[in-house]
Amino acid sequence: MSFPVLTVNELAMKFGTSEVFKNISFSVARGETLGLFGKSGSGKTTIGRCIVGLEKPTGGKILVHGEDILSMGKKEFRKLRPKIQMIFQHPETSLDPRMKAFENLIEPLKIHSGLKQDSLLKRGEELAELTGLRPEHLVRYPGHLSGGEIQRIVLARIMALSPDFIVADEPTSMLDVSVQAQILRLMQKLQRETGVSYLLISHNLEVLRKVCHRIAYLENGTITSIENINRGIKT
Amino acid sequence: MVDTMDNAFAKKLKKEDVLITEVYGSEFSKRLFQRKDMLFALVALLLFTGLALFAPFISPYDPNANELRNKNLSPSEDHLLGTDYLGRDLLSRILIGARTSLSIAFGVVLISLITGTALGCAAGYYGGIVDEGISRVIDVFLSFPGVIFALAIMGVLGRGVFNLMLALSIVQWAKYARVMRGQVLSIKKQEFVLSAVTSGADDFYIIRRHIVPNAIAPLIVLATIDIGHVILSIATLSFLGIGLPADVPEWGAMLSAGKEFMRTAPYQTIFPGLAITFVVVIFSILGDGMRDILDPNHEGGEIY
Repeated sequence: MSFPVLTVNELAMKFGTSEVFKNISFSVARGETLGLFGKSGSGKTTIGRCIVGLEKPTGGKILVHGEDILSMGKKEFRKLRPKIQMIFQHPETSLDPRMKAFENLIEPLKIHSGLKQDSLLKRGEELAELTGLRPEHLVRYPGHLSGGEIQRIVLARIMALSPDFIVADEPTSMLDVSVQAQILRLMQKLQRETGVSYLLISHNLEVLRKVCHRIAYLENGTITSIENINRGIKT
Repeated sequence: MVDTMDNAFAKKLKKEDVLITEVYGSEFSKRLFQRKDMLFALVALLLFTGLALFAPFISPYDPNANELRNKNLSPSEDHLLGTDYLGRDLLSRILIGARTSLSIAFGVVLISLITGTALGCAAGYYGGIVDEGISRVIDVFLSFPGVIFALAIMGVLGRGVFNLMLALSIVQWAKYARVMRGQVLSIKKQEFVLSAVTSGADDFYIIRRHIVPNAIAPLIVLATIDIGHVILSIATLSFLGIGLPADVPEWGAMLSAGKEFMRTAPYQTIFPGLAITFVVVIFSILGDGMRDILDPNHEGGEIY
């Protein structure tokens, strides 16, 4: 039996007595992009952070390939972590300012692969190529890169882990319109090449309509409807 | 993938260009050499350290040799900085005193920096009960006025170089822990740290690779400035008569002894006082310069 890459069931979150969201349920298939639309402060980011394990929800289940990540032990979840990645909203703080772009890019490989320096360089170059980066970007510190270049590096470092699922939290909201389009096209290209699935969080419906297969509407802390966009899933 | 790779990468990308370890030092020294005041302070510090290290060989007299017939002599060819109330050569005592003051100050700051950084990091990173526990201990230690707390500890432990270092370290560490905790609290929420968490890095890796390097700059500055303060604290305790044993030449103790002869032999306070002021100023310049060099947002800032 083939499970969806991600299934979220009855997810709920409370901070003290205030309820952020409840009854959040959706699933995402391989190679699919699900948009999550909602106003600022509606809890979109918190849902994303729960999925990647940065927040612990107060109720519900999160299944990755059919396995509930909330019932996993710390070690077991750490092994699964590379498969569920997140692109954060603010490019300026997404990379360590004290590490050159390339060091930031290959960090996940250092953590997981145990590759030697030469192999790291080679694999890093491949990932940079994949995301359209040029050598001059890689030798700079993040403070000397544009938002678009940083988001490419973020994508490259995420792809180093060959993830199945990426939560993209407003990945283009801080970018110029032309750069936004480049990054979204790059995400689509990576999806076609690797079959990765996205949960694309945004308050910009126009952007979501351009790239998503389905859009979930979050209102008053719950999903009110899920709209199908007429776009076939290519994997 | 490799076959279709742009050759530009293979030709241009070298590990010394992209891996930080190779360039960290050179970037730092480049920015250091742009600061003339830092260079002046460094040269002066090296000179002082050299004098302190070689003090036993270059001191013209035995710093503890009492020559009562030479007591309270003004500066002269025989005694360049004069003699004290027991006829001991002031230059020799200042040179040997530099050894005592600098080594105790470095020791105290190093112990405080390491302890404060480790505990502050644990409190800020792990939060919860660890933070509560460590923060309350920090509060207790910071609630006492420093010199009075050191006085109390020295009263219990007794006089001596080791006891003085211990007492001043106990007084100082909490300050470092408080600063580190605040730094870690803000850095651990930054997205590059969260990225490392979601990449599957363990706590030790995150602390070592991201938290400490990004949090340590203000502590290095604090430590640099603190060396001057610790020298003043040693001088204060010695001035109050509970710092070091009488046979250990130390600038504060010399100042204390000299004050009795302020009107007749002012040089007995002026020269040790000048030595203290000079070293404190050197470390203040170094601390100020380090703050600029380590600040990523400072004008001309590149890597930090």
